[in-house]
Amino acid sequence: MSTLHLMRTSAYQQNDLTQCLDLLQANDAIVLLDDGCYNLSHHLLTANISNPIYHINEHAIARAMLDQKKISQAITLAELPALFFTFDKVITWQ
Amino acid sequence: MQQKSLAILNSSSSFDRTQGRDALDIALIFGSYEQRVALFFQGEGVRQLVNRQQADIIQAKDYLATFSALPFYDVEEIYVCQHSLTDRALTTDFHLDNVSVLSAGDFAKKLQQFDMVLRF
Repeated sequence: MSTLHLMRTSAYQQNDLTQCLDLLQANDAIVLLDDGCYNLSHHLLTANISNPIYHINEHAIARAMLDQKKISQAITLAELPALFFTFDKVITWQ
Repeated sequence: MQQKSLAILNSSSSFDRTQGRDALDIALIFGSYEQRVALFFQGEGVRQLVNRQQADIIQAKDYLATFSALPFYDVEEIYVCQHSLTDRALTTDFHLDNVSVLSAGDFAKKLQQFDMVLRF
């Protein structure tokens, strides 16, 4: 079983990311959307996480989150739906 | 009648609902009535000052550009919490010029000086 976690909040503001990481399993992945893109510079994510991490490129650029994107792969909003189908289920954190 | 001073405390990030935009509107309104009004940025609110944000990319209203109108409304006291910047690994590369960066203690003391505080 694999889960795609859609993270829409900032770990600087709420503890959704902490709870998400507590549930993270080996085959899971995380997508950062909206204010979730601020997590690109948060130590919770920059500490070694082997799971794949994606971020919505437009959302990160809008927030000037430009140079902290080494830990994550940029995708567009249009590419997100296709990603849903490569996982068994999706959880939205908002 | 002695005028009241207003502090507007911003603690929401740039595109978090309409918090930032509403706060800026209030500041401009009070400024246009020549009230003493200051802007404070703390927590996620400091992100509103970050340079090179691009609201148009996500089809959001670019209210950040309106910050440059503040001096015309005599709103010239802008304070930001250094601790909040450090927490978020943010520099002082702001899209505004006259921002005072204060330590957490000085930030609290400065806020104390105002008669009214509105938090967004």
